[in-house]
Amino acid sequence: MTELTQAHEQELAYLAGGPVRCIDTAIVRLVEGGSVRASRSGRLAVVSEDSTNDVETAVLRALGRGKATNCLHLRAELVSGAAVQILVAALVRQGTLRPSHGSWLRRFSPRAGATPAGLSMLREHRLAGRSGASRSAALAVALGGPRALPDVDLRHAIFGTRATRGRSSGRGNRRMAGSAAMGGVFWSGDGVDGGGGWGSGGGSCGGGGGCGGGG
Amino acid sequence: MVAGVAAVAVADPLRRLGLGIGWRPEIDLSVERLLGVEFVEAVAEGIHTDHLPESLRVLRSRGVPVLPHGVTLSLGGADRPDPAKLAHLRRCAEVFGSPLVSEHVAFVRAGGLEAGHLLPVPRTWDALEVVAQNVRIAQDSLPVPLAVENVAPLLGWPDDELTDGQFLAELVARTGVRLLLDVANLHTASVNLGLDPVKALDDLPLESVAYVHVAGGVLRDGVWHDTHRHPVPPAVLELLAELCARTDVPGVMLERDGDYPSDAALAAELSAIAQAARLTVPP
Repeated sequence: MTELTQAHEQELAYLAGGPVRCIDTAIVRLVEGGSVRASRSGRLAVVSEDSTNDVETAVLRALGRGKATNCLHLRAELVSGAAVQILVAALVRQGTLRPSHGSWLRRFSPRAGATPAGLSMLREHRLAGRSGASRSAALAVALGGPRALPDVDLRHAIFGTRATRGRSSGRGNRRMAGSAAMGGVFWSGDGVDGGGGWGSGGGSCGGGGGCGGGG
Repeated sequence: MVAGVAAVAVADPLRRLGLGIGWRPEIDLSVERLLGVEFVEAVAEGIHTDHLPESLRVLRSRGVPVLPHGVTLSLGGADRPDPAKLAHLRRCAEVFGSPLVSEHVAFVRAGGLEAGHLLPVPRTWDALEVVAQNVRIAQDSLPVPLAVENVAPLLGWPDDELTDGQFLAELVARTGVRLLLDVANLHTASVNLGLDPVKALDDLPLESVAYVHVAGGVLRDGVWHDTHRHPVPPAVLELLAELCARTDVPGVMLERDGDYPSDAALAAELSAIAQAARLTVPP
């Protein structure tokens, strides 16, 4: 398995759960690294400007501008933003995302996501996690969604209790779905209630619940 | 824990508190996770006793003392303390099982106007009598001992008859009130009013100190602003060290109220405070 960089982490997040998963992963990475502080109210605050990839930088900027103060705001603000689009383009270029998915803003196609190479990459990292290899909280979220964040208090602080209590249709998810739809994005609320994300019906990615791994 | 009214800790208010930090909602998880934090102080006016913050419940369940800290009682005002505010302080002490409650030797309102600041009291014998009466009223209303804090003055009143230390010493002598000694505020008085902070330590009844505040600030145009948003300056740590060389203070805590740094930076400030105060921090 190739050494994992934070950029790879974002790629895995996208392949496993789409744009929302990328944003969730970036948030967790920033909190894990001390650049963002999460409080029990759900509020996220910038502590330092240190980031390791474009999505993280976009999260810091959105928080810094005051346009977003929590996870739901960030998802709504960034799900169709440039940082995610750049990531999509990179995934297509490297052959892990189907080219048709480069136009996902216009042509939502939930099962046309990862290529065999992308699925292989996901499988490789999931297997590594199962074999006991240590993984960061951010990587756990990248592969498994919010419910994979092992720190329960932090999970509830960042994603809310509704977000991590199984397949409920919590208000947060509805709000997210609404926000995304208004932005022209018809992606299901990845990981918010455990069932979203692309490929959740496909079950071909080796995870517990399709590519999203039940996340 | 703290489902209803916890047992109020009426034991010795000068018991060891150790190292503490001001609990704020913005840093609640950080406070819960900082190593070595033995007590927290929470601004009473920000607490709804019917809906306690989960973080404070967690801390209490771990046995971490929570000290209610009032900011609007206006003990230094000509009016008597508001019974409703006293009742709230009392309720806070009850729900947290706090060993003591603290407030300021200051006034925040007069003539129907709210200052929005903790204003210094004229250090006169007449003012002392007023403050002493208000402190006694508060003491009678509270289920636990009261500690009063020296404020950070941006101005001084003309014709003061006592030093800061003498004023507080007289207040302690008349009421038996405990002291919450803010060494950052002594530093503020030193810069802004030219008052010697070491002389203040000479005058104060240090055996009455219940705990100590430490905070950062910034110098702007020759005026020290006790912002609680900047790092603790060396001068304040040196004053803390001087205090702790003279007496064993029961507790020392960091106040931070904005521009919160990283958890690592908060931990480093706490460590510097513990070192200056010669506190042995439990692992």
